[in-house]
Amino acid sequence: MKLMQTLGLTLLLLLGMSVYAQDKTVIYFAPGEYLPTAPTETNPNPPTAITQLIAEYEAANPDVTIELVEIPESVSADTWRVTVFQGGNQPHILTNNYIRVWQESINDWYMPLNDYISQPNPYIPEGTPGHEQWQDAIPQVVWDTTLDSAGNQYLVTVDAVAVGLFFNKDLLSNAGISTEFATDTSLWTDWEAMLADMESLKTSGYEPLAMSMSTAVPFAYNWIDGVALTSVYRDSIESMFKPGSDWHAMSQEEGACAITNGLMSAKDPQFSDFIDILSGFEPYWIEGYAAATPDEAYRLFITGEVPFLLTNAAVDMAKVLRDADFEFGVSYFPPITAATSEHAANNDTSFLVGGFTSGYTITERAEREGISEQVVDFLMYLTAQPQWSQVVTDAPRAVPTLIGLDVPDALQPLTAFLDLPIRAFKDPDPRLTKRYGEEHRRLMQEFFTGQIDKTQLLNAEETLMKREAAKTIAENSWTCDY
Amino acid sequence: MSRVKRMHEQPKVSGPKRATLLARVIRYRFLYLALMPALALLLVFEWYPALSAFYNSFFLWNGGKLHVFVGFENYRYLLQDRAFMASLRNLSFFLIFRIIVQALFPFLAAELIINLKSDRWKDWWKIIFVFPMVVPNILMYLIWRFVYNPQVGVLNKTLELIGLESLGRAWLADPATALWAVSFVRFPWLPTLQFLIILGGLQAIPKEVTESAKLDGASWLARIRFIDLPMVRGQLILAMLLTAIFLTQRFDLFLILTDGGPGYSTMVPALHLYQSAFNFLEFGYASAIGVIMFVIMLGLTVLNMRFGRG
Repeated sequence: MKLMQTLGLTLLLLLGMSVYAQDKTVIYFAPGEYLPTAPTETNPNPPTAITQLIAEYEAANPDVTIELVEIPESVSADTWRVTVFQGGNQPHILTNNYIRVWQESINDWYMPLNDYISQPNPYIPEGTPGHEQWQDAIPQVVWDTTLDSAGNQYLVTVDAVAVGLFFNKDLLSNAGISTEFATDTSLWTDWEAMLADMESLKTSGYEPLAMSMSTAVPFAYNWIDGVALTSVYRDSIESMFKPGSDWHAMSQEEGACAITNGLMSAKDPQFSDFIDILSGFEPYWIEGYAAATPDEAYRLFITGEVPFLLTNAAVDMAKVLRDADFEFGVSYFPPITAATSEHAANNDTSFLVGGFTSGYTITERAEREGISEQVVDFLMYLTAQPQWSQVVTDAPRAVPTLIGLDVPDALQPLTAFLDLPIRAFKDPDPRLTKRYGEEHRRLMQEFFTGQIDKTQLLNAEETLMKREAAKTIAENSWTCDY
Repeated sequence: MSRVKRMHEQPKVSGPKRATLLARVIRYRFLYLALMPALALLLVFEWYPALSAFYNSFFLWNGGKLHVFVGFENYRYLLQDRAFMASLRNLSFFLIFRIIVQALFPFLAAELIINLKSDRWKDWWKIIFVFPMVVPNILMYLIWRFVYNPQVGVLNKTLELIGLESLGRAWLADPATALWAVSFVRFPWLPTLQFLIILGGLQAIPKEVTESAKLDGASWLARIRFIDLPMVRGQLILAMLLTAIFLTQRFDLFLILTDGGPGYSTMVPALHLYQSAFNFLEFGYASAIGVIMFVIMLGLTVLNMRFGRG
C-alpha cells in the first residue's frame, strides 16, 4: 500500500513539474562576446551584466525563463550553427554577422524584424530615441548596412566592431620610430610611410607585424585584403553599386553582378595592383603567418617580441590593458595613395574595416514555437539604452552604436576609426561565397609562398571569380539587370 | 535442456532436409529479437547516414531548403577541383609514409618486448607503449603545434642551441615542409591498437619454433626474417589496413595543425569534405567526396585482403 502511495505521489509530482515546465516560456539566448562566464586566472573579470539583466527580466516576467547558450570553442562557429539549425535546437536569439545572415536567409533560418523595429520600445524611456519607434534608437546608417537586398532587416545591431593595429611604444621608440599620430586615425600619412617604418623595424631585427593568415581563422588577412581591394577600385566602385545608392559595403549581389556584368575582373590593372600591394606588405608579417592563430599572434605582441598586432581592437582592448606591461597605442591603416598605385590616386583616407557587422538575430524557432512576441520583447528590453549601457560599461567589447550611450573610456581611441568610410569590398567570403573566400585565401597563400606565380594566380582568380559569381547568381535568382 | 544447448545440437538432428529460413527465424525468434536493438541502432546511425550521403551526392544541397537534383554534376566538379586533386596526392604521400612507419615501429617495439628476459619488464614496457592511448589526440596535436612554432617552438630552439639555426623555419607554414611536419606528428609512431595486434601475433608464435631456431644457431635478424615476419604477416597486414582506414578518415590532425595549408599543401579528402559541408554549406558536394572516400577505402581493403591471402 505504501509503495502504491509513494508511486502515486511521485507521478503527481512529475505531472506537476511537467505542467509547470510547459507553462514557462523558455528563451534560449546566445549573447556571444558578452556571455557571462566564471572568472579564470587569465580572465579574472568576465562579463556579468547580462546575468543581472536576465534576473531582472525574469522577475518582471515570472512566466519566462532565459537560458544562456555558449557557442562551444571546440568547434567552429559555422559548424555549430549549421548543426543546431539542422537539429532545430538553435537559440531563439543569436549574435550574428549580417553577411552570414544574408547568405543563410535562403533557408528561412531567421525572422525578418521589419514589423517589430517600427513599433515602440516600452523599455526605452520617454524622450529617448527609440521610445516611440524602436529603430530610432540606432542610427540609420546601421540599418542601411544590415538591410538585405530583398528589403529584410534581420539584425538589431547595437555596437560596432573596430579593427586596429596595436603598437608597442617602447619597441617603436627603440627603433627610432615616432609614436605620434600623423593623422586623426593613423601613425602614418600613407601606405609607403608605413612600409618604410616596417622596413626599419625589420632591419632592427624585429618581425614587424603579428597577424594570422591561417585559413581556419583568417580575419586579419581578410581585413587587409578588403582595404587594399577597395583602395585600388576606389574610382570605379560606384558603377558596381545598385543605382541610386550611396557609398556602402557592397552586397553579395552587387559583387557577383559586377563580375558577371564585366565591371570587375582579375585581369583588371587594378586587380594586378591589389596583388602587388599585398605582396609588398607580406614580407613584414610574422614568420609562419600562414599557420599562425590569432592567439599565437597575440602572444608575440604581448610578450614584446613583435611591435605591431593587427586585431579586433575593441574586443582585445580589455585583454591588452590587462596583459601589456608596456605602453601601447592603437593606429589604423594609412590610406593607400598614388604613391603606391595610380588607381588609388583619389584616396584621401583609408577605409574602415568592421563597423556595424554584428548584431542580434531572432531565429525561426521563435515563430515555430509561437513565442516570437515574447522573444522580441526580451530583445527590446536588452537593447534599450538603460540596459545596454550596463552591458557595455561592465565589459567593453565593441563601440556602442545606440544613440545616447557613452563610449567607454577604454574604447575612446577607436571611435575616430568609425568615422572613416566603410570599405566597399568586404572580407573575401561575403564578397561572393564562402568557397570563393576560402579558395582566394589559399591562392594568395600559394602565391606568397612561391607555389604559383602572379600570372597563374590571376588566371586562377579569374576562373574562380566567374564561377562563384555565376553560381551565387543562379542560386539566388538575381537578374543583375541594373 | 537449455535453449543454448539445444542450439548447439541442431546440426546433428537437422538431417538432410534443412528447415526453411522462416521456420528457423521463428524457432530462434528470441535470439533474433535480442539482435533487433543493435540492428536498429546500426541502421539509424550507420547505414542511414551512409546511404543518405550517397543519395545526396546527386543533389545541390546547402543543408537547408536548397535541395536540387544535379545528377553527376558534383562528381564532375570533383575532377576539376584543385583542392580535391591536391588532397588525393597529399593523402597518398601521408598514407604510404604512415602505413610503413606505423607497421615498422610497432613491430620493432613488439620484437624488443618479446625478446626481453624479464616478464616484469615486459609488462612494464607494454604499459608504457599502451599508455599514450589515454592521451587525447587534440592534446597531442597542440603539443606538436607548439613544437613546430617558428618563434618559440622546441624544434627551432633546439636547432638554435646546436648552432643550426639556419635550418629553422616555419615548419607548418612552409609548403616544402608542411606535409612532412604533419606526417612526423606522434613520432615514434606507436599506435596502440596496431602495436597490440602485432605483439599478440608475436606472442602466438610457438616457443618451440623459436627455440629450435636458436638451437640451429639462427641469429636474431634471421629469426625475425624467416620466422617472425612470415608468422605475423596476417597481423601486419591487418595493422596496415587499419592504419589506412583510420588515416583516410582522419582530418582533425590536419585541421588543427595547418587547416590544409599553406595553399593546399596539406589538404586531405576528409578535411575537404568537412569544409565543403560545414564551411561552404555544400552538403551535396561533401557527400560526393564521402562516396569517393568510401570507394578508396573499399579499394584499400580489397587490396590488402588479396595481399593478405597471398
